[in-house]
Amino acid sequence: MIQYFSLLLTAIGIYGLLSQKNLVKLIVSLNIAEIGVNLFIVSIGYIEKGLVPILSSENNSSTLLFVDPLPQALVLTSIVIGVGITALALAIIVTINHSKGTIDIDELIERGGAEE
Amino acid sequence: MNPVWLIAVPLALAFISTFANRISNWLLFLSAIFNAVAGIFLSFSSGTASYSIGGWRSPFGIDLIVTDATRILLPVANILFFFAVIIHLSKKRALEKFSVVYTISLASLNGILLTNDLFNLFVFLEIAGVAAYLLAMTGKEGESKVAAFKYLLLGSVGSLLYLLGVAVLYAAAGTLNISAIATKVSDGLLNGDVMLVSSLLMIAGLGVESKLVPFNGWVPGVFTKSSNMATLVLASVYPVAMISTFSRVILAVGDRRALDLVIVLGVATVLIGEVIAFKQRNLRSTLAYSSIAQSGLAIFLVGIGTVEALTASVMLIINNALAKFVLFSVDSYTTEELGADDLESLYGLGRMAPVAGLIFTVSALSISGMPLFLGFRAKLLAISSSFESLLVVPIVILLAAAIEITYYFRWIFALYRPYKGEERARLSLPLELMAIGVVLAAILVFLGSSSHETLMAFSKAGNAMVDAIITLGKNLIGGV
Repeated sequence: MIQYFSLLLTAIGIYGLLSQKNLVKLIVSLNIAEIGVNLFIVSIGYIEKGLVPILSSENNSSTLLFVDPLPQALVLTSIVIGVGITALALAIIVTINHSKGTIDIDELIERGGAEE
Repeated sequence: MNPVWLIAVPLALAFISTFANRISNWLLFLSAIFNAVAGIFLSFSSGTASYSIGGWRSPFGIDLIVTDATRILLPVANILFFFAVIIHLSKKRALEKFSVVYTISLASLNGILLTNDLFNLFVFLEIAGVAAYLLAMTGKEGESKVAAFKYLLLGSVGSLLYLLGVAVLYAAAGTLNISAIATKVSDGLLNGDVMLVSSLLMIAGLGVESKLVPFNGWVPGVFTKSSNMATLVLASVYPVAMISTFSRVILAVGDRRALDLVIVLGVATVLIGEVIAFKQRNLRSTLAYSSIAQSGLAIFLVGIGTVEALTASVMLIINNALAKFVLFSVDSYTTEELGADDLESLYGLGRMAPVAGLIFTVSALSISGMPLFLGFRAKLLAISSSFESLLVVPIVILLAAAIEITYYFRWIFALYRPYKGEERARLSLPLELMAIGVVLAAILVFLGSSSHETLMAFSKAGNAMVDAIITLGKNLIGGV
């Protein structure tokens, strides 16, 4: 069930990317889409009534039903990458604001900043 | 030699150079020369080899794979990067403070070419992407920042879709190793519809960096607005890694039905790129659109999927990389010396700087596929192998070549046309640019006119594009 919601979140993010005019709002939309994808990946590893994937004195056999730990590791990596991209994007927005004086796509096009 | 050094050395040197700003240019030079030498060293041996990282055996841990295709593409990418560094190292302020970014981009490009793990590939794609966004910002004017932002948005959405595709494929196959998944695919163990979804997501994701048609809106802005060295690296070294990885992933873990889409997108990319390149008024944007068209051509041949088509695709990737390197450096040089690169101001350049004219002509002819040059061999191979079975290949290639020849000849004629304005002094090409340009042009002519035996390396590469990965996967599963 949560998989549908995470894909819905991705779709909302992509809608935001298509509809927003402000560069910062574009980055927020990108983050929403990213969260959706990350939730989707986490949900892949989930198993009904699965155990924490750690061998302990109680769960001491590798044949028990563990949840898949790999997707969590993947999501951790992709969250870090997402933070990096967001920081870089905000830095680029600041330099755009310095040189162009605006962060609105329509005004940037009017001032000849972005053709097409 | 373990190829992990090709990734580790530039990464380590990049880390050091963040603390040692004064010598960071030299650290960049050091890593470039190490990678060039190591790349050549790798190309001496042949066959497929896999190297597991961190002591985990291959289907469970990450592994690097060296195939016959990597053995050609890796040295080409690294040597071109090294050449780009040599040309710009002596110029003041050409690198500014970006030498760390160049070093990181070198590490990530090698990682993209070598890795055999889908998620590892995602990480390297993101690192290469971040480096590329920063390089796209290096232009003098504010426009380059806007272009870089556009590139960042498209690139991040693309890698997001790629990640989603990887997740879907992982849920179905239970592994991220490309060889292991490829084996499961070829044994028919995976549901075709799941694979179709994941391949569509991956095509969209990898298509951004490979300049496929609906995803390539960033190319003209970035290639025309960013600094000379950044454009050189983004236009000649990046495509080698990106396009070959696109074909490797889509062929190994993609659905057969998705290849039809690759053909359609590739044809659209070629035709749209060539037509827009035709109507450009200045040299650099012509070259930018021509790059789009060339990657479309290489990817379209991947969609065809026969060994000959893949061989031709590898040849086209290398032809494009070598020739675009020369074309973009001549363009940067003329923009610096003459202040402009539109048709009129280039008049007479062939007489003012004969060597620049010569290497420009050779590269332009090789890109458009005239006989005697490498581009001709690639296109001839693709056409002759598919003339009877698939008529779409010769039609697309010949149509594209017709448009290409028209607009490249316009530029070549401009170079040798007399200049009407006031007298201009002779230009002397910088020695390193002249030497590198002549070497690359000579390679294009040599590969274009040599015997079939010299081209065996390319057909081995075309063979290795898929077969090597699957064979390796079979061995892996047998060994576990």
